[in-house]
Amino acid sequence: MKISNEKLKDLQINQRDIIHFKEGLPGFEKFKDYVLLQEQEIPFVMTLQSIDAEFPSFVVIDPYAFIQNYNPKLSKQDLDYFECEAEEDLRVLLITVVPKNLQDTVVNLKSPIIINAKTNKAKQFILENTDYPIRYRLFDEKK
Amino acid sequence: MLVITRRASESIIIGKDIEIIVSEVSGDKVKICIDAPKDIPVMRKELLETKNLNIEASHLADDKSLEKFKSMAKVMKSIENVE
Repeated sequence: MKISNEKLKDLQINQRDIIHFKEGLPGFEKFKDYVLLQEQEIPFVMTLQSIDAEFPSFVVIDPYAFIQNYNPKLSKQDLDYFECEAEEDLRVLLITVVPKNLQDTVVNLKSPIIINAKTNKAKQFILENTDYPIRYRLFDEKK
Repeated sequence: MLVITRRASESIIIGKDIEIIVSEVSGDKVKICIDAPKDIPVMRKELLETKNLNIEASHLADDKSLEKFKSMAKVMKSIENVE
């Protein structure tokens, strides 16, 4: 397939690796197709990269590697969106703002990205009925 | 800030053509209907905040910070494993 992204030029992308956000992400509604770039050495920090352009490109983390007891609960309606029978098929990622001063790194616990690993259908949900912050300071509040 | 008490089915008018109707109250939840012209964006605050954070996240991570972040994350993980 044809890739119009400089960063991805040398990267071989399989059609089945493309993660599809039907509605895009909040702020990036037009960008619907992404790939997850992952290094073997640090599997819990990844880059969610648009395949259509160099931007948007997001740093995402596996929350369970960092945040104890993180337990996002999707509503029945949200689960139905994925037409998913087993919740184990759903992968959770959190968008991370990595600034120059790393101490100020924040992750959005309130709006996890959920991917159905079987179909690669994805969506960023805004959780209801939780007090999870939108800007959680990853390195400060860690106990 | 203006504070008004309203009951279910009562409403508030903002400006000439925005109406906010309290449709249902149950426990700590309030169902609200908003009648506003199409050109006025109405959204949950969390959505706007998520949008702003996404925009920030898509710009900030230059390669150097990302490398530093990764090594910091790695250290964090290894401390955890020792514990």
